[in-house]
Amino acid sequence: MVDHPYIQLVLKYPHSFLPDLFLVLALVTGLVNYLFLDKASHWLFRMLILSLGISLLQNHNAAYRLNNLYLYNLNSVAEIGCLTGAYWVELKSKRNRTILLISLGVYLSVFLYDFSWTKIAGITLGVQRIIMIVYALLYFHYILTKMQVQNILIHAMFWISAGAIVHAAGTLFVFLFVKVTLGDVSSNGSYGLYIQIVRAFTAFFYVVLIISFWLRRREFRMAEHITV
Amino acid sequence: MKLYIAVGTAVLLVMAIFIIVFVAYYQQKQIRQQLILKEWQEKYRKGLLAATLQAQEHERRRIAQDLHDEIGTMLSVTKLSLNQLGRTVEHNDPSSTVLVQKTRSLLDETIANVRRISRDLVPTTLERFGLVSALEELAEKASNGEVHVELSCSDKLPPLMPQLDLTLFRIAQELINNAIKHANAQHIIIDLHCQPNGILLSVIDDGQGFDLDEIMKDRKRGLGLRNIESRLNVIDGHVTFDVEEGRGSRIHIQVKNLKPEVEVEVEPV
Ligand SMILES: Nc1ncnc2c1ncn2[C@@H]1O[C@H](COP(=O)(O)OP(=O)(O)OP(=O)(O)O)[C@@H](O)[C@H]1O
Ligand SMILES: [Mg+2]
Repeated sequence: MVDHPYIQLVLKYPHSFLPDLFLVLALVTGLVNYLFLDKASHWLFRMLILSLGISLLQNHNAAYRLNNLYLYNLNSVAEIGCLTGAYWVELKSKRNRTILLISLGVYLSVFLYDFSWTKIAGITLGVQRIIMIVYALLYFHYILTKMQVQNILIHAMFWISAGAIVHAAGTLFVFLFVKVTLGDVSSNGSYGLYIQIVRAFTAFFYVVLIISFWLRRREFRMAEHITV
Repeated sequence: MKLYIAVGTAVLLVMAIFIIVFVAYYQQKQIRQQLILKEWQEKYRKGLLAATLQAQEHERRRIAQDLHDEIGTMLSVTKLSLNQLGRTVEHNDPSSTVLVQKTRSLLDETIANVRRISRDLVPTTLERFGLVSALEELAEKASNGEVHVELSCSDKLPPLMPQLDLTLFRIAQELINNAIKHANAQHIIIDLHCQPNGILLSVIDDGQGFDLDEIMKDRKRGLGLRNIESRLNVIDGHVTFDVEEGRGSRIHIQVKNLKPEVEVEVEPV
């Protein structure tokens, strides 16, 4: 029993499951509050489901010592796709949607060019971070110009954008300079440190999503209060 | 290289956090400003309304004065000449005496009407003797063979905020008018009641009542109830309609009567 590859993996790299823990928590929170989620949050929920699937596969491959690096790249596509969906719902102006489409186009071209089955596509992931920052900034700009949100501190999408921008800023350089940071997989290389940083920021992003799902519930209740 | 990455990441993170804090702070500030603006607009609207009402009273006073001083005087002079004319005519042509007498009584009636109208236009009693006396007079005038209007005032009124007595008087006037005009009431009670920090005025009739929702939906309805609402708006008062079709109406007006400083100032338009 104890020498089952899964158990071995957990025993050997317990801290690598941190993001997965918060991912599962975020999914549960999303489910609990599912009725209160708006369209944008639905997209994030979809993103979490996809990420969970990919992560399961990743851990399976890791346990059986199979290559799983390409799954990082697939996860990146899933993330950027769903985030574009979420921001597409929120940012309704023509200009903003054009920017979203262009960003997605740029990302996909980079992805096609940079994709690899055997290594982390650092440039692609870096571009994903840049695009996340662009999306968040677009949303901040939208908030400041439209002034429709009454209390920004309990506004879910604001925190999602804030989480996205911090997550992206924290991991951008790690992926842009992937050869230096994650290139050396040997045990005395820097891979372990940097992947841990990436995991921490990913976990942070999931925590923000958990908070935002609860906030959706509150926002929904308050909107109900006002209209009644 | 690794140092550069660390420094770059740190810089990016600081920038990101700075942006987030800035957005949150700036947005909250803007929202607060919007609120202040809204409050200011509301105050301005109230001031405008108050000014309109004041202008209305002013105009009434002017009309009353003109009516009394000019038409009233002219009518009195006319009556004098009619008396003279009457004497001459009675001498020469006794058959016209009836006509002269009829003209004289018509003239008397007109004079009385002009006086009544000019007195109704400005609530003189209110200004001289206060709200309770004015309401008493109102009740007395409105009572006749068919309707009985009664004022019930439990306690002595405290000093009222400026304009408050006029507002209450005008509202009572309209409510009684309504009860007489629309309700077919036989008994109307004006109830004036002191509350801590306020005054409660109720007008209760035993008429046929009405459906408030329907009246409010009616685009062609009269101005009376609407005027009551805008009058109350100016002084932060409340009206409660306890009405229903088929039974008498009870309409309650609640106004605050704080220290006189809280007077609504009329801003220049
Ligand atoms: N005490 C009441 N009893 C029965 N119906 C009433 C009473 N007060 C008001 N109403 C109804 O409400 C309607 C609206 O009243 P309101 O005072 O606003 O207008 P009005 O009296 O018709 O016209 P105006 O006051 O402008 O001369 C009236 O037409 C009448 O049908
Ligand atoms: Mg009326």
